[in-house]
Amino acid sequence: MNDRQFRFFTLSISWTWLTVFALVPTLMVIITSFLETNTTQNITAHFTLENYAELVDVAYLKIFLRSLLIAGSCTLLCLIVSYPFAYGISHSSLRYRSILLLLVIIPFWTSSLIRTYAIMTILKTKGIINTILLSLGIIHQPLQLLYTNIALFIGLTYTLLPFMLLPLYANMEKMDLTLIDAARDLGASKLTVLRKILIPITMPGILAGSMMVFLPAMTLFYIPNLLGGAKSMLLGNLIQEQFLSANNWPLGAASSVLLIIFMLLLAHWYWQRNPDSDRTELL
Amino acid sequence: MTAPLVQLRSICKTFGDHQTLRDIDLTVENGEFLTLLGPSGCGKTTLLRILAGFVTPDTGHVLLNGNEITNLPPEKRPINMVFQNYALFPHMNVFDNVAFGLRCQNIDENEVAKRVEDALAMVRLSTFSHRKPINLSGGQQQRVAIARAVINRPELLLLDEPLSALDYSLRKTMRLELKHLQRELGITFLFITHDQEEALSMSDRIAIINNGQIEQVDTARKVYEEPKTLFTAQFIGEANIFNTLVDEASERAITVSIENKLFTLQNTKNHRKGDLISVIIRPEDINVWDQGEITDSTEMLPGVIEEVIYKGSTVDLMVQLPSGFRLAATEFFNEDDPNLYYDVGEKVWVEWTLGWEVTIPHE
Amino acid sequence: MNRTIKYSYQTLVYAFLYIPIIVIIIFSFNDTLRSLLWQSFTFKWYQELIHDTDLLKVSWHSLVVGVLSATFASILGTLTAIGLHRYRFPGRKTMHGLILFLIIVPDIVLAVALLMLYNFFNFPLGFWSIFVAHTSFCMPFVAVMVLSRIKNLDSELVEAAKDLGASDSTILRQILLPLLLPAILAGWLISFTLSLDDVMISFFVSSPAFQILPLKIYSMARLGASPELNALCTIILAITLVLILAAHSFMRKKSI
Repeated sequence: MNDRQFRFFTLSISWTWLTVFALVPTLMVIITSFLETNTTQNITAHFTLENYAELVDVAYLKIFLRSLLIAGSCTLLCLIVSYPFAYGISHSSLRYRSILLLLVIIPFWTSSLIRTYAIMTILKTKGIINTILLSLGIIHQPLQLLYTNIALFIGLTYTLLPFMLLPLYANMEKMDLTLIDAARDLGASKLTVLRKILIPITMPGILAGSMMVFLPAMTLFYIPNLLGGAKSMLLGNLIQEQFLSANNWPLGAASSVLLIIFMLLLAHWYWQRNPDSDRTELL
Repeated sequence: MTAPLVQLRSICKTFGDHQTLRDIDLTVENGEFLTLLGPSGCGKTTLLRILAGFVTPDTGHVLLNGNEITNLPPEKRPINMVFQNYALFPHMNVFDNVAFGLRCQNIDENEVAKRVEDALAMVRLSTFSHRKPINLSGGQQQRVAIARAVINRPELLLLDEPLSALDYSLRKTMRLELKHLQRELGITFLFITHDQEEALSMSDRIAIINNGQIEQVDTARKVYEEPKTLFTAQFIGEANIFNTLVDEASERAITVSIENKLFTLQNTKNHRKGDLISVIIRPEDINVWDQGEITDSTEMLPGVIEEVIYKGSTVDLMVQLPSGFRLAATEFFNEDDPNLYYDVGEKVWVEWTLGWEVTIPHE
Repeated sequence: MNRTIKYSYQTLVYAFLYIPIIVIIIFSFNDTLRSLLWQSFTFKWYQELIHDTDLLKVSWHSLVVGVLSATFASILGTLTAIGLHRYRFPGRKTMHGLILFLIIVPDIVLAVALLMLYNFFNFPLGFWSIFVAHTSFCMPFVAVMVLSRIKNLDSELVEAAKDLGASDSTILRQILLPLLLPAILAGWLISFTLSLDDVMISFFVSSPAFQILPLKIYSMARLGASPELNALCTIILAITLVLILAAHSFMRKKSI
């Protein structure tokens, strides 16, 4: 194969696959969100803004706000837990650092379904937490932990924590520690160092981690299904329901478009601050 | 008469809105060691990459033995290159690295083995043929890179600042070694560097490049002793430069005033009365005398020692002249004058050996 | 004092990450059906898994889908990465953007999008729909991993090969592929792991006729915790661990 043919071959394969299985389907979602629903064929080819109007309806609006609230507070909790931890391991002695890092990488790539299942076994009525609390005499009746909002919140935090840890670590490892020494030398207090030096420098890591926690927290439908109560619907469950049981595809598509908009806003915010970053340092 | 090995004819290259090379003409003779010398960003690397074939000039022609090769891709040119960071293939051992060029031509494997061994023997690395590049020292990697580049018996070897990654003492050894290798191989070397010491010590000829243009092409000695431009004078060695008007001019001599004293200099460049010229004097051509030693100060300038830097075999002085001009002077220790000693603040007379100065039109 | 706080905090976070997993591993060997109390060591639950023909069939499906889609994703991802790096073509930025979009977009959007595509073309849900979906969501990961590797390669290496007379295909075979191989293999392993674990997308694009392992685990988990499921999860955790460790060591290697 000569150089020209090779170039053509490479690029056309990539383009074909990406167009057919990424670009076209995504466009279909966007188009469908503007079409009318139809009970027999899912979709009718009529332009409408009805689906978006329906999304601001009270029932759906509640699900949105709930998703935002839960995903947002889960992201915040992950950040608070991860920040000192990632800082600690990114500047631990070189001898242990690689093993400490590996211990974060393993859960990062481990199935989040299995990890959700694991937290489920901990929280169940006859699970570890209840057994310990009972044997210590703190409670006399087993607590109903599983299938509550608390379980959902713990489960989301547990499952998504590695997705905050790793980007933060990757970012902090590159940081020059003498910057902190320099700031302290110039008379900055610990709090000032955190506010004026650490947080601004690690902002890319914070944003990347937040993006990787926030979006899945809203959409991983199996976590609420396994851990939450009957009413713990999040955005992901709404989309799942519209597509697989309520058969209102245009409404599901409109919700998906909303998600894409969320994502683009976060991504835009991220790239605005780090124009030349890539997300390849995760392994 | 045979054509020179390489001819560059009015080469221009622009990247974005930066004109990197402006109308370059250069001839490389067969068998010579030519150095392109210039500050970083002057365009010398682009020129080298044009010769290698990685960059196509916007206009102009590249001729090899009289044949046009301007648009020939790098893999088809009988020109090879030693890269700045050597670019040794990290997954291949020394032998396979050196053999790469031969294998690209599908040469018989027995022949490959023989030629690779010869090349490795030449750079004294025969016992290292099974090592990976990462297990070699900087100097050894450098020699592998050279062996790999010369194995195809190129007509021209390009060397892109190959010594810059080495430490100072190794750099000095490698200079000699490169020069020696070049004579042994009989291959034309085109070497680029920003280090004037490197250029002066190795080259048959030096091309000074500045701002995308060639300032001067000459032997090392001529470039130093007879700079044609102010840039060359300042870039190679140190220079004291006095800008002045020509008061009187004849065919042989000119009269100029320096620091309000009249001097008669040789008129080598056809200066005419009223011309603005630069008089260039090297620090080592300047003599500095204690005021007490001097009785006749007609062709001398008064000054005050401002700085004394002891350099072992020499002393570098900075002398302030009445106008505020700071003159650099280098005095050699010698047996005739064991008490060579200067104090800061001491009043002195300075002179230079008339005729050793260089005059050029003011730029 | 400061150190003690630091180390206990780190230990606490690691404990939070690992205790739930360790609990299911331990209880997969416990000879009791419901209680948390330790009875005695047993392989009983593993033996039950082996005799579950339905589970074996589903596992086989997952293995086939995983191997095939990881392989296809690796080829596509590598070609895409090389294309993105070596060539300047119109739409190059769009292609790069599309790759990044596929990585950060929530899985559910991709799932919905593919479901619509299949539905529109009346493409039946089953092996092929899952294979295509898994290849699609793994390919960007490989592309990004290989791309970061190429970017870190010295660009002088390709120039040196060209200078010594190598053609594009020689450069690909003798320089690029050997140097990229660790990243490609790591990409394959990660793709296989992702395929083995995916619930989100498979849930939308599968049919009861062709079930795969993660969906089976999901439906078992919906019924509540069970020792068989503990055993099944333990096996998958072990496989995942091996794959991750292998991928991790490949990413650190310079070449093979």
